[in-house]
Amino acid sequence: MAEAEAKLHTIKCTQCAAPLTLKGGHQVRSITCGYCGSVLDTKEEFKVVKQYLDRKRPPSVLELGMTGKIHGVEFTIIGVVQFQDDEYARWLEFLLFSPTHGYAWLEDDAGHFIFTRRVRDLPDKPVSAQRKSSFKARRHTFKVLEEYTISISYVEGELTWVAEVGDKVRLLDAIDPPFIYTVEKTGTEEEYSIGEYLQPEAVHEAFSIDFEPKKRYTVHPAQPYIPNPMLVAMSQAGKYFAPLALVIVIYAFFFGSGETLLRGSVTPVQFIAGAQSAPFEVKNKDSLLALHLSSPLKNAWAWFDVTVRNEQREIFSLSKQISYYSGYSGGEHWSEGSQSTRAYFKVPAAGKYTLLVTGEGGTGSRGTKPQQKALNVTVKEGVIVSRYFVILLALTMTAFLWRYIMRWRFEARRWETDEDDDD
Amino acid sequence: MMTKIFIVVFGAMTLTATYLTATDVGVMEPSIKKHSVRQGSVYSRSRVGGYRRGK
Amino acid sequence: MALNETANNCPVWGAEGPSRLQYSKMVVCGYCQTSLFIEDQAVKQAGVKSVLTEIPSILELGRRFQYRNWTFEPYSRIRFDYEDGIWDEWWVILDSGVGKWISVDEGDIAVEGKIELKESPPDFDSMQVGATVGLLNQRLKVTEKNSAKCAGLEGELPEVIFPGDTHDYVHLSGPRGLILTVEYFEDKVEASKGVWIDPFDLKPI
Repeated sequence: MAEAEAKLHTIKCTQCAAPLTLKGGHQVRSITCGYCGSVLDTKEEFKVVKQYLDRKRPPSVLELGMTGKIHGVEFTIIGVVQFQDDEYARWLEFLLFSPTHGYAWLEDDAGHFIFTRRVRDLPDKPVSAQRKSSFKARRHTFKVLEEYTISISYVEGELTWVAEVGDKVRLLDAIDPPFIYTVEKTGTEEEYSIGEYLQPEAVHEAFSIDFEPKKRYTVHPAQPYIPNPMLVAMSQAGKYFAPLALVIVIYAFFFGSGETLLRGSVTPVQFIAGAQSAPFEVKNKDSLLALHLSSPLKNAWAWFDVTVRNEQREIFSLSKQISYYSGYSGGEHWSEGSQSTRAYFKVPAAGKYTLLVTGEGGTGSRGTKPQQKALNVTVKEGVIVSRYFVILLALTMTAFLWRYIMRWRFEARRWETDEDDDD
Repeated sequence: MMTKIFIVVFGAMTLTATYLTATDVGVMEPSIKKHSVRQGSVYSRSRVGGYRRGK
Repeated sequence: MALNETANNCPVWGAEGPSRLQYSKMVVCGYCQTSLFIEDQAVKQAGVKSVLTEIPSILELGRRFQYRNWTFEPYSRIRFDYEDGIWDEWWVILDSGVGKWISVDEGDIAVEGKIELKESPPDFDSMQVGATVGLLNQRLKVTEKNSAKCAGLEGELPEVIFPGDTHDYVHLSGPRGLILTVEYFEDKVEASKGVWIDPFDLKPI
């Protein structure tokens, strides 16, 4: 049998005679005139049950009478209810009708669209109102979000019951994004529905709304997290390079500290006069050499000139400072400076070298005599400086993790919708 | 597609890091061939010692 | 059961009738919409025309459909008119050969199977909407009490029914989505148990 057009019925509002088109099926029980706000009972010859005056239709991109295809089924918007919760947040629910698939709802909540239908799939166990407790229904595992009461603040069009402004409903929501399972409690009975988060672009396209959807500033509990494709690509690339950088940094740590060529210590008396070290042999002129100077100074400073010389002459010299100050201020410990310092250098040729160390120092801020602490001097050959790979590691780790951090933040916003504000 | 671009970028960064590490770029202490005038430390109020003539 | 060839044709038009279904007791001739019933290897004209006004429907005769792991084809439909509106009862044959009734009322779709009630249900007049009744070892709630009139037929039916026939019925609902329908005919009371199905899970193939 071929598909037939659903029959449309036009009536005149029994209050103000405005023409009203009935597009819903026989389960429609009331129609609220958009012009005069009268609620007419469709089963009682459109008797006026109530009248709401001075109403303003809440704005939405969706309107009564629009048709759109959702999941391959064409629905007509036949009615609308505005709900508010006890924090005065408001949203709209549009009643949809399809002669083949029955009734459904399309919610418009600050630019989030949720397509909801009544289902008979019961939860596998009694649902507890405990936040994040879970249950299974309809092959999904849902986590309870919250239980709350809503009330009607506006009605228009055809509805499957006689709705009145001020009517209250108690609901419990549980989520498995993009789905949201709602339990509606009426007396001793419960009704169940499943909502599905629809992307705004898909809704605009389905209902032939020409302009772009407005920006969403909140995260809806059922909103699925859609990662930025660039972050995904970056993460996938970072996934290979971060371990590589890590391996190299670890290698440099274990194998890059070099071979010790010289180790000695110099007393302040010695370094004030100038001290010459024992000779040390550099095996390879291309090796990176590291000079470590350290001294357990406390609230003192010292400057050292270190000259590197071979048997004939001075090659070059460098100056390094060690200073370390610490104390307590307002009960908190502070410290400044370091008890060691390091310099890297190379020599022009392999062979024997010595160091000449001269130093001066002082204690406190005015002292002119160095603290009586020895200076430890070490020279190592074949050092690998890992700083560039450390930077690479930091960058590739960030590249890898950024997408997960963004997801974590999104999920935190999803669940924060109803944290108790104690203040 | 985008992943490939990032792989190329990270690959280039790795090669750069390898080059910089192997050639010890920016690591070495600026060498002072001749002994320079010692500035003294931040904390000293007077200059200790004097100029030293280099050889 | 092989039918005599001439006895298989519509007595009005001579158009060929259906040939195979062992279930068919009644047939609506696709050309002239005359109801015919098959009795004793002869096709007899029941003399009643039944015309169904077309409405958009999720099911269609002669097309195969799938619901979860069932595939089936609707063979006939009976339209009932009740106080609030209309619904269709579709007789469908699964690939396994089993026949079932599917009730379709806008988006409310239920698959029904006849059951024998051990206890006889209360009589129609004593049933009240909203009251609880003990049947099938459970407390069931009466959700609807109405009178339905057969408003038309189509296809090949497993039972004889005429447009204009009326019967009383009561719908009851139980825990876990259970539906029980009790139908009161002149000479008998029949019950069937139903299971709701989601229209989005029902697709043509």
